[in-house]
Amino acid sequence: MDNLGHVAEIAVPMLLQGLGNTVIISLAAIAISIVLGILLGLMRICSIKAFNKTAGIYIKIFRCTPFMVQVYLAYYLPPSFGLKIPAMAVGIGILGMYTAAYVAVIFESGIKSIGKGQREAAYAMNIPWFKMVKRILFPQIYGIILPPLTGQFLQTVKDSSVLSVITVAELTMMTNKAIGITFSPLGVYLCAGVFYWLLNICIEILSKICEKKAFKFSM
Amino acid sequence: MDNNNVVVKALGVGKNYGELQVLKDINIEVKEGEVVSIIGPSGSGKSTFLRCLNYLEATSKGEVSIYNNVLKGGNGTVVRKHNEKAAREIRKSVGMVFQQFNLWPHMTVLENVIETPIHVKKIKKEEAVKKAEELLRKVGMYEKRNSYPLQLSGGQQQRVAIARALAVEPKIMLFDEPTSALDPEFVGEVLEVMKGLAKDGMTMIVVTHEMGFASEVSDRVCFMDGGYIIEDDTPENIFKHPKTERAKQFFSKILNV
Repeated sequence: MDNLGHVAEIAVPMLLQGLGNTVIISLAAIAISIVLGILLGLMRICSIKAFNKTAGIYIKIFRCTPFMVQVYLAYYLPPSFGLKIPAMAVGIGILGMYTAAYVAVIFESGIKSIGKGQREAAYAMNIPWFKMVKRILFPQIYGIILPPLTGQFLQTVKDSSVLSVITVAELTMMTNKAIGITFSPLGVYLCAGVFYWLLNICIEILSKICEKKAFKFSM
Repeated sequence: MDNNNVVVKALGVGKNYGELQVLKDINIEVKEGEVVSIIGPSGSGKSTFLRCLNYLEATSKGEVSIYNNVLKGGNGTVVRKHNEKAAREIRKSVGMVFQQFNLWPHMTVLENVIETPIHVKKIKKEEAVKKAEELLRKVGMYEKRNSYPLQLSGGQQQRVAIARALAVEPKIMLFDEPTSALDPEFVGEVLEVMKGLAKDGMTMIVVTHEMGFASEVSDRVCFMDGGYIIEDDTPENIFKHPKTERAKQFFSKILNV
């Protein structure tokens, strides 16, 4: 019992510090992925072929290579050009860019699930393309894409653990550090698991709240 | 034909989807205030032709001219740029009603009708609402202004769709089989609204399978088959004395049903 109290005393503050960073990294990466993902999704569905192709290549690169390889590349590439970027910033950036590829595909699929009649009615009335997407299509797909988006964001939180390999002091790295000090892997990993779980439960609850505002097709 | 008030003109219009030639050589003129019904068997190109008029489809050859805005055939970049510009002008004066209504389901009836006036024509909201309510009264849907489209019957949805198209104050209305998706009991109410429009002097081009409407309301009926307009005459002549064998066949079949 004494030993457990001792472990908790050392490990919990370290893990909380890691959790704080994981929250910051995850939220920032999710924010980046929403903006970039919607932009890429719009490029996929617009009528300009060069945009379709560019977004397509981006998505193929980021979805078809391991995230850890991307993380290492993002970490080692800037210094070879003489650029010094803090590991945390690199981590947020690459996690955001990686998630954006998935967000783009979810967004694109959502848009494509709406029948073309909806678009044609808008075109026939001279509603410009962007306004059509924003006012006619997006409100209709919002409720449809929210569950897969949420799934993706839960994944983003979990993927942030990979950033421990480039010295970002997030939850997984701090967990390993704490284990190095306490020699109590089971208890510390359990604690880390609970922290990740709590963070993702918060995201799920948030998603459920957003879902209530969505338009529903069945009345 | 008096050229002065010809508002819609199609000259040698053709349309291919790859190898398939849907429209071969369509020539037609529609005068201001005229009601023209386009009838014919499925696959004859009726809807495709209608959709070429407001550039929902690009034509492969020939020329469409509406109030002197010309849509050219072909698909080069220059032609497309020109057509997109012309289409924006054309759509200001051309309203369209679809077979599947295509109301926006996340907006109420009223919101559907005021969307374009507010967000495209930049009309003040109060003014747009007033105008929309007037239009909804006209189509008998004022009471349902706060309902959502999916809570309405097909006939009611189509009447709202007509009000929505009228909200941009078009001079020409295109109807693409407006009653084909309706249960029989709701066909009448939609046709009534259309008859009212015709009586008000609206220029109308109607693709339809409603022979009653075509003969009763239209000034002219065009019979299409295989990508051509093979007869273009008064309803009286078309229905009672069709000139072509194809039209005779078609009428004998639908009258037997």
